[in-house]
Amino acid sequence: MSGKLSETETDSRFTAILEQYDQVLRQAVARFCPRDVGLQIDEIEQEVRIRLWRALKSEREIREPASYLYRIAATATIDAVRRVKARREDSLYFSSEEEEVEDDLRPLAANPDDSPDRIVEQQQTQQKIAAAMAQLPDNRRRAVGLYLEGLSSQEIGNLLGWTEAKARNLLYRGLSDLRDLLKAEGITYETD
Amino acid sequence: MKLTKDQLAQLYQQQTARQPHSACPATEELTQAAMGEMGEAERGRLADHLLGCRDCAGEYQLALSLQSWALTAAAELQPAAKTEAQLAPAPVPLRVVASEPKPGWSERLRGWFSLPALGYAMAVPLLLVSLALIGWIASLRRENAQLAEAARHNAQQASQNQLSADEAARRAQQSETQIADLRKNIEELSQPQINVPITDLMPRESSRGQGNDEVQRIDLPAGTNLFTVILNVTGQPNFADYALEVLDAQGQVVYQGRGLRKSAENTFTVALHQRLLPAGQYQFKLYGLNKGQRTLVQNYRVQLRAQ
Repeated sequence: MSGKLSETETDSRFTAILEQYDQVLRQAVARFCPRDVGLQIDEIEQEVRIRLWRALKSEREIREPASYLYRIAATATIDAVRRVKARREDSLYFSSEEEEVEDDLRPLAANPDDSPDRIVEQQQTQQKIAAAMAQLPDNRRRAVGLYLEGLSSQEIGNLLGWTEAKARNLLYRGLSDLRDLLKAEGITYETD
Repeated sequence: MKLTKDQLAQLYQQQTARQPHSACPATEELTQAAMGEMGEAERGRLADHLLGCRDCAGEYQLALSLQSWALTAAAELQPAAKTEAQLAPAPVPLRVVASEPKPGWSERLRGWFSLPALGYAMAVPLLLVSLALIGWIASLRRENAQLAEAARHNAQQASQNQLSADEAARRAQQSETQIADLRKNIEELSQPQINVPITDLMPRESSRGQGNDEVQRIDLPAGTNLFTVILNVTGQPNFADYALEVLDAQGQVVYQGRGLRKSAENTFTVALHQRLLPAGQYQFKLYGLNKGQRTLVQNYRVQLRAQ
């Protein structure tokens, strides 16, 4: 965008842009921050709105509007998410301390997955997974680790500067190696 | 123990949750990585962090998911921004683990080619390209025909030039031969001529017998190039000039010359070359020239014989 937009134009377009942003943000947070469903998205939106508004109102010339908007929105969004998460974690930390003081008698776990045996078993499995991952070659380990973190082969390729085909190939071979290593440890998992 | 793929991912992610005070990358780093602005080493380091930090991995994906929005927003703010390809890599579609498998490349390719509009859109430029190629090929053929004709003409011209050159060379050779012969003749003629025969040709009335057809014989020795004849005349008036005409047996003129001077003994001397007069019969006609009139003074019939 070159030059300064008129007040009316800025207002109308800005409203449309933010509506789209709100939708994208809510979907993205729900998908990529599932542990943080309780995040106050309104707070994130408000912070990004302010920064975008300042950018659109600025007098300076913007030669690459898509990159500029993206940089502002992505940075503001991640910053806001991190701040909200930090506040929430602090809150949980303090509340858990209070609970320990006030409530010495914990109720028994109602969910069988939360039983001590199950938790120990999960911890052992996690250790085996970590050990198996450590044995993979670097590129395969990165591909598998990012995949298990939820990245697609396209996203893995973009992050590491690989083609999607190369990322997919490394992922396939890495998963195959991981399956063999875990099988030796008595763990099997489904593959495509 | 048997795990599903989702369970494997869940177990993995449980141990990669962000720990308090961990050294997570700055927000700008995640944004730069999403925009493809990082070097290879930085990307590797960031990837190593993301695969061990669930929160950062989610934030990275969150950043990626905003790319399509940024493009749309920029396009709405300024239509020209639609052409901007600044955001690299291209927007990544939203994805969750264990989502439905994406169609394979062959299915997507078939999908593209099954679109009628795409078919027409491809057919039009192909048709235009085909027409352009046909025109181009036709022009190339015409050009080739012209070049072939020019080449044929040039070959013909070269052949003619070669013939002309051969003919010129032959003539030059001939000329050189002639020049060599002439030089040889000049050299021979420049040498002293020895044993040159001298023959008196007597006038008719003084020769033996009365016939006009009496032939006087001249014998030429071998190796003789020149021979001299003395033309004797009697009882003739004087003329201002005299000329000699030599005819062969068929009456063809072999030699004509003037400027002969009569000696005090009423004789004319002529040296002749055997090449001019090979063996055979000849007539030597001596004329007197006076005021443009030519008067036959004497006619000598000669038989030349080589020995």
